[in-house]
Amino acid sequence: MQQASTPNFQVLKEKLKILADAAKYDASCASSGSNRARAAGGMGNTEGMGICHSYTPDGRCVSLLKLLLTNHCIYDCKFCINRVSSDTPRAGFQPSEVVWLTLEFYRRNYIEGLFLSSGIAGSSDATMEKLIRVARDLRLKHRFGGYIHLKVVAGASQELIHEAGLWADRLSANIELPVQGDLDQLAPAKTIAAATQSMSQIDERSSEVREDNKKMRVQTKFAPAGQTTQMIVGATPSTDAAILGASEKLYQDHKLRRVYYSAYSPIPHADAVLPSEKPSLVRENRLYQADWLVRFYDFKAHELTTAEAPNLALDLDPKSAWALGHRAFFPVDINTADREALLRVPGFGVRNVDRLIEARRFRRLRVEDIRRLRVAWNRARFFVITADHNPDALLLDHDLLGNRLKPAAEQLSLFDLRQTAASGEL
Amino acid sequence: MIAADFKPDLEGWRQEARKFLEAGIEPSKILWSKESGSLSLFGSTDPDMKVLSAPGGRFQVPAEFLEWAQLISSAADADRWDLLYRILFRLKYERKDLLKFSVDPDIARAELLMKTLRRDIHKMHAFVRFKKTDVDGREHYVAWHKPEHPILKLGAPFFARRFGDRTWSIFTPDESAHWDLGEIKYGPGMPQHEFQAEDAFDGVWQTYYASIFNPARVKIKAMKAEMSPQYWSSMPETALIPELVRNAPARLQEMAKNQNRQAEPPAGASLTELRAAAQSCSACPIVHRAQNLVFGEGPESARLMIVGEQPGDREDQEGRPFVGPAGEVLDECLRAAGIDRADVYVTSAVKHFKWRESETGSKIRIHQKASGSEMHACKPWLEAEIARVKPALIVALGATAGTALLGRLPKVKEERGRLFESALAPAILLSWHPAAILRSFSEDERRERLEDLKMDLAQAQNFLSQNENPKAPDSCLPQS
Repeated sequence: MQQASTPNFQVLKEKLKILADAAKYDASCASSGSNRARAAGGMGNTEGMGICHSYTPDGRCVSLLKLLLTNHCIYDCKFCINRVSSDTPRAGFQPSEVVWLTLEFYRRNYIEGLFLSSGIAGSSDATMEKLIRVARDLRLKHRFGGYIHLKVVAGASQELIHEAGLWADRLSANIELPVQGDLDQLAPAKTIAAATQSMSQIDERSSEVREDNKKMRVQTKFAPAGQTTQMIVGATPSTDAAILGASEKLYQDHKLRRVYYSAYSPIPHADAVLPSEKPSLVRENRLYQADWLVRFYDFKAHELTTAEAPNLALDLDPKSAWALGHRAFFPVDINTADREALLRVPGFGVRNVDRLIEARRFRRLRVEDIRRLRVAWNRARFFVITADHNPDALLLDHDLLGNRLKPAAEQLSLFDLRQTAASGEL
Repeated sequence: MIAADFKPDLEGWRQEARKFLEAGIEPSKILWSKESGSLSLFGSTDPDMKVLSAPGGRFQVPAEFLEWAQLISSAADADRWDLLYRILFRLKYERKDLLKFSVDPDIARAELLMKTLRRDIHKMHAFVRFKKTDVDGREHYVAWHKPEHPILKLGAPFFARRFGDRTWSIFTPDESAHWDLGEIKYGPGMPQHEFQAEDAFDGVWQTYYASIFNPARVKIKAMKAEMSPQYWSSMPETALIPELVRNAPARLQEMAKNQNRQAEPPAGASLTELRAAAQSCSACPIVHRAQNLVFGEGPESARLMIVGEQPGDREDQEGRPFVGPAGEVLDECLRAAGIDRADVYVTSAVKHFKWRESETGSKIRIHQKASGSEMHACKPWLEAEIARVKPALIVALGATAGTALLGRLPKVKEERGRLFESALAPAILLSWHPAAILRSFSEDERRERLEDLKMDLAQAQNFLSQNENPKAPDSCLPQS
């Protein structure tokens, strides 16, 4: 392995402070979804599952070395601390410094790999080329097999997107806001169309490579962990219905693995036109839960909100909220209902539904059986009947059922928050 | 009661269990360990379940059970051998697909135990921290880690797959693993106080850790749930946690103080009302040193709006935009383009004069460029003016006005004379700021820029005459 001369630790720390701090507003942290064996003589691999190597006191996972190459930026997006009209301190890494940091961090098992983004200081392509250079050097010069997530900067050309995917495990082009009107207000130089064009190019290239691989002996990897995007929540009046609708369309049109929601948080030097109250972490959490229902529980985005209530309930998880609005659908008989119906029961997760379906082949299931699976019985019990006729199901038509479903204490909702912030799972 | 006599590892248990199973000895009759006693808490057979396996028939242990046994045998729990035998016995005498019956007490217990063990292995993969050392001039990486269960042998191969290109050692209190580039060898354990290795690079990692913490979201319980304090002593970054948490409120206050303010124009106000409200604006500090507010001026019916950067000395004294030397240049160019200034709404991105004392002690107030936050503080006034005037075309003079209107820093030299689409107005056109013309390096450059501005304004006039639409449609306007 070629080892660059050791950079000055003190200089490096100063840059790290600025460029790690500047990168932390990107919510994406996952290091999953890629399988890459270690190259002979090299270091690093991926085995499908992501690993959180540490947690900061904000409860967030530290999986990747998350950096901006530079926080100089010509854009003036009001929600972003790095906008051109911010007085934040500026710095820039040489690509070789990021390569070195990545290798040294990885070697000590601090991280799964690198997440690299950048402010756009010159042209989009010049910026994208620098990001690519870091990834290419890691892969080719250092035979690095760890996880690499590259940001596709707004307006990067197709050729560069194609090259980025050769070295990166995952790519992401940020949509930032759900509708063009929101961008017009807060990021007038950005368009939904430009972001979705990048997504299409990633998706199309990915399909091409997959087709080519069927015919070739030598297999090419192109962003094997797929692509994701991020939406900022709470900086504009857009409703959850608009946000979830936009996400659903992105999943359908561009086969995204994940849409990240980032509650607008009071960042230093933030533009005061944005809501200044404490960021709505609960709302962010509800969006993740709703997103999860759409991807894994056969819900359609439009089922989760109504014309009268276009935002998700804050005091109730979206599945419970749906159940309360559709009581005629319940009770569901756990011994006979099909999988789709079981997935709609509040408190039942995908794994537990599959286990129930296996277990009921053995004999008819009772309340104690379900409780043994450690489902959220305090929610589920109102919606299911069992072999021993669960009496709580009689409360289904009760007016106050909603109150019974709400978390009793703040503690519980915090627990929910953590769970969902980490995995997106209910 | 039969006391099992076996070497307490998977192979030892297997041999003993096979003997018992063939003899048909029921789980409740065997004492697998002193600690667990006869803790067969759970009834072994489910009375309602249809028994499918015919006793006495040829029995083959399902492959899946062997995986379960490998994992569960590494648990620290005293009842693990008892549990494994109970399941094995029931696989033979009750049902061979018992493992799928997740609601059974034995199966639920086994699955819970396996979940704990998998998590422990996962946390080892996550929390081992290697330190770089030098052994006889060769790089060697060492780590000390304390898993909850004795899972080193299950967890170590991961590190050989990942870091196979260097030698390493991982010590735990009970045993150690050593990679020599060919295979993993296991040896005795080591107490933490005997493990002494320093790595200066840990300081860089700590810097990173401190920088990515967001003090706006302190969630200690969430952190501890995923990263139990039992692991902290061997993770260098955790030394910073108390300080980060302690300083979070102060940092938040600091953040709130630094938070840039923005002007708040009254909603739905007329231009006159806006101007009056701006008189008492204090969204940024430059207001205190300026003599006058320099608000935009011109008819509300104007189809053309011209936006400059910020007022200068003369503008400040008179309280009117573009009345100094730069204004003279603008007037000259407007005339050349055949535009009557009386038809134009003229304003600037920043509404007060920013200046400093002259170093030579003269009374001349030296112009200073407004900072990013000052431009931001002032921007709502410009947006309110645009919403009121609804121009069909906005001409942005210079990079500051360009940034305010385009949402990015434009390159005036390359992008001037182009019509940009915008949500603020049907079109935005960028050109030189008259002050940039006055500050040209050479006479040639001055003349060239002057001609550019005349040409661009002529283009503006041309655009207006070709686009019949008298005003911008409402849908283009900002919501303010």
